[in-house]
Amino acid sequence: MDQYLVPESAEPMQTPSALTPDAAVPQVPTRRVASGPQGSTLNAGSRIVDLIAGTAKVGVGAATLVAVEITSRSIRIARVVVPASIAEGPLDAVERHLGRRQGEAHRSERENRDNVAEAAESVLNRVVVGVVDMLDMEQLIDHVPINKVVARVDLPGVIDEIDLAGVIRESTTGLGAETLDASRAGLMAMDLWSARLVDRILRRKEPRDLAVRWNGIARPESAKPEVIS
Amino acid sequence: MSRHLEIRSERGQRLQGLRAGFVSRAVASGTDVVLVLCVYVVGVIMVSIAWDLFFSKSISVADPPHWLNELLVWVLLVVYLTAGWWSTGRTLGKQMMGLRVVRSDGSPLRFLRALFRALLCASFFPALLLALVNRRNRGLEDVALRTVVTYDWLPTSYEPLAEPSINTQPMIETRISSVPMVRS
Repeated sequence: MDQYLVPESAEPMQTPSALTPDAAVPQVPTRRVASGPQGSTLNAGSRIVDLIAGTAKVGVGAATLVAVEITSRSIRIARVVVPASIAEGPLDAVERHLGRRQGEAHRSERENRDNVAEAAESVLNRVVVGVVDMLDMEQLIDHVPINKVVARVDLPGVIDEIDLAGVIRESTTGLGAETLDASRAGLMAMDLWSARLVDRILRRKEPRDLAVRWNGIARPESAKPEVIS
Repeated sequence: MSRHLEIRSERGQRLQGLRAGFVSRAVASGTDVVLVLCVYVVGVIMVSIAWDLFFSKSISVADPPHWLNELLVWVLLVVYLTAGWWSTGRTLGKQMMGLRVVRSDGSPLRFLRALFRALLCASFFPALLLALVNRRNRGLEDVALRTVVTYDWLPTSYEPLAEPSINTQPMIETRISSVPMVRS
């Protein structure tokens, strides 16, 4: 289980020797993640720290976006209030700067959100697995009134909802059609193979003409060159 | 929407509407013959039982003379083939193999052509062997009656989707050193 819990990020780090062509550089031993409970706990701790840090970053990013929005509106108001000859240059410069910051903030927010989601998922998985491991399942099941639960389930209603007959019909029809198509395709392959064999025996070099002129019109989509193996 | 989307096999899609080869046709014909034989045997048994129920004290299965068996099977085969080719262009065997019989211009067979084709096929099975060596996969019955057997897996008959240019006649290459190809 410990091995299962080690995330992808815990893969061996690249050593300095791998980055430099010089083989004489002494190798730093690769850090291995401990496979025991201690390693797992450490890793879980780091993921929790990641989650907290990521959440904080998302908060900071959101605050930045709000600040940018407020500043942007303020500039719009300032443009109305302050005479254009005085304010135009500085306000334009500020607006350009704001635009850049806004783009960066959006990008950063997206990245942070993804990181937080990933960390949250990882932490949740660990928590759920840990909790389930802690539980005594047999004791838990003893406390669940399964008979009462089953008695409350409307089984005929559930079966009616499922439309079992429809499911069986669709699956068998699909299976039959697929089998038929496969056998037809196999026979097609044998047709081509036998024609090739006969043509080889008869030393023919010209290809067979399999086109049908439908009301004087050759079949159009066959005009595309295709390999038939 | 192209009806070829309903065919999952890539090869099946590519060869729809082209002349069918010997193996598919032989398997379809064999299936038809077996079906007719089964129908004949079941028919003989049922007629015998029905006859004995009304006109005999004991029930037994009739054993017609050899020539009568052959004649009845031949008649049944001709009727069956004619009905199939005249109505939908296919018999049950051809339906299973995804084949359809049409005239050389792609139109459906009329009654007389279907009947003559059935007479020829039921009387002379080796007629199909010509399809093995013919450059256009035509059996003797196709040459004599100007018919074509095409790959047509879907229930509705094949129709060309658009008018092509004059140089788009498709060919299946059967080269010595390469796999067959469709070319323009």
